[in-house]
Amino acid sequence: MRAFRNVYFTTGFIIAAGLLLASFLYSYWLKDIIPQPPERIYNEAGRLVDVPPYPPSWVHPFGVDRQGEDVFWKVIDGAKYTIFTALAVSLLRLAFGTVGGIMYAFYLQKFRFIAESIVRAFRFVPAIFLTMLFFAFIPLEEQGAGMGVLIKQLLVLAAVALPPLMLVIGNDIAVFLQNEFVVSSRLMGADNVWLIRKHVLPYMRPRLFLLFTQQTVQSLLLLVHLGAFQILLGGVKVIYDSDGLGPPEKVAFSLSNEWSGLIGLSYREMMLDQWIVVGPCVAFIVAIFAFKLMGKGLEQVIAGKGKRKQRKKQWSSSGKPASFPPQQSDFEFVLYK
Amino acid sequence: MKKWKLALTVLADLLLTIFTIMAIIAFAQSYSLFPSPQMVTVFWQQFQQLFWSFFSIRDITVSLSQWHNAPLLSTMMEPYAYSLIILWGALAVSFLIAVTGAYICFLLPRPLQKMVKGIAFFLESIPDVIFIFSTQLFVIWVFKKTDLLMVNPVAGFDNVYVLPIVMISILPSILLFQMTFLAFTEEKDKPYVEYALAKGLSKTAVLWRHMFRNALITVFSNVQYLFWFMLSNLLVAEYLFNMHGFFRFLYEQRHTPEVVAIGLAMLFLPFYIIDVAGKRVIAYLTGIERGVA
Repeated sequence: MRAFRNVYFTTGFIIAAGLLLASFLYSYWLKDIIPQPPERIYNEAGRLVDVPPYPPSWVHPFGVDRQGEDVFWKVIDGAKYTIFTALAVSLLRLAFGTVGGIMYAFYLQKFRFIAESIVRAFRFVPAIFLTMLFFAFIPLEEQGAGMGVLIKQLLVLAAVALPPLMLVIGNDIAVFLQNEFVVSSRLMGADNVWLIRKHVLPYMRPRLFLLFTQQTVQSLLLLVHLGAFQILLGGVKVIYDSDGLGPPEKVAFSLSNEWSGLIGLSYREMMLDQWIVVGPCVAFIVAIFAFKLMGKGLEQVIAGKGKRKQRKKQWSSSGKPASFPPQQSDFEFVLYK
Repeated sequence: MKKWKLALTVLADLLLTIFTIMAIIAFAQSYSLFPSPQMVTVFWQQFQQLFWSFFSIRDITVSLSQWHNAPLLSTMMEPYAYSLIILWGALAVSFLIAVTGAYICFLLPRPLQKMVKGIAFFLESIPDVIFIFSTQLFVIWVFKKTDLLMVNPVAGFDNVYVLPIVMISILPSILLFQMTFLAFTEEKDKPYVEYALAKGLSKTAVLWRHMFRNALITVFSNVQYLFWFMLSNLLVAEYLFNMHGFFRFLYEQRHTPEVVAIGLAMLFLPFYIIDVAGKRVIAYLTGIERGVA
């Protein structure tokens, strides 16, 4: 809770929480209040001037898409899915990563050489490429099968970044274990379980929070990539859309308004009406920025910045000005802790 | 003796990493059977198949279209060379931008420094995809305004080098800029800098002759992370711009595991060379430091 005193952390937290809150408010309450954008726009003379998609305006800040829906509210609606996906993925990564890291630090130090070259493979292949490989071999018919596929996909998203994270946590712990107080605790007969409970976990807790925000940023980035490669989470609904001219075209819709889906599915709008893609992109930037701010705040809290003020107070609180030459009364005994 | 040992570790490292890449691909293939025990046998089969495919690399063909097959090696070479040139070029460019940027920024007055840092922090939270999207939009916008088509953003660059290099080097150079700048600020408080300044050397001289050398160590130890970030950028750029690069090739062949495995192994080679070279450079630099002190 100390973190909330940090400006960066609080700002980031407020932005992220605000997005989520707005998202839930929208789907339970605002959805019925906000009017749908008009299907056609007429001018004063009663002539038809425009049909969706409309460009951005004051009423529709992100514009209106081809299906006549306001992009801004679509983005707000999708916020909860995207942010919760990112949070879930990073939570999975962190849970497995901590367990793996502790195992690595305590038991597998001899295999350091092997572990490092395995991790190098994961580090070097871009995460999105790995994800693509996994998704390429999940048969397509299965997509849209609902929860099962979604869980499988989330596991993949978590797994592609897991080995490097394990190594990072493991190395951190291994360095920490060389501290004198840990060594002496071990000499006095503490076993590994005790060390983990009393030393490692208290040391790791703030760092895990920091890693959590960093991993959330990473998962959000991965989600953007998924969008660009048109890989959808959960599955797609395919409808056949005919504009009355050619044969019906296959158009895929994301089941939710999840941001990466919004980007991926309207990618071809890039050359036509850019604002349909720009909306979710802006949303991603805002979300990533928020989590980065939180991370920066946590970093400062861990490094102990902001404590300086208190220390200054202590120095200056010694009271009366010193006389010259110093008298004995200028000095006092201090209990050294 | 020492050289032998080094060569051996490098070789073992390389082999292990390539094995891991194969294992990942085999695992990806068997992943759709996830909870069932069948997965293990499929995994093992695939792994063996991938392993042996490395020895018959000359016989592998890829299907370029429904009717046209071509041997892998000859088709792979051209996009491979193209992507590597872009990668190396981008690495050099981002090095240049980042180091000069940090250098100039360090000489600026405090408030301006803070501003630049803030802007870099914000720019860093722009995902590479979105950045490349906006480059595309920018090219179109320039074309609309001035009738000057810098490059055709949809049909792909046919061996155009400058724009892709600039495009994929900007975000990594922001990252590297921050690292270098941090290294400079950390170096600034060290006693030798204070001493040199007190002796009357100018700020530029101290920065260039002394701090820069020490900061280079930080830069070099991050070079592999930079390269990794650049690979991901290139992957996205090749996909979005229809470039005929290596990642595009791999993406098109992603359903044939052998090609992907060989391709990734080939891409890993230069990466590993950079890694080892970076470490050698650091050892060299720090060695010189010790020699002087």
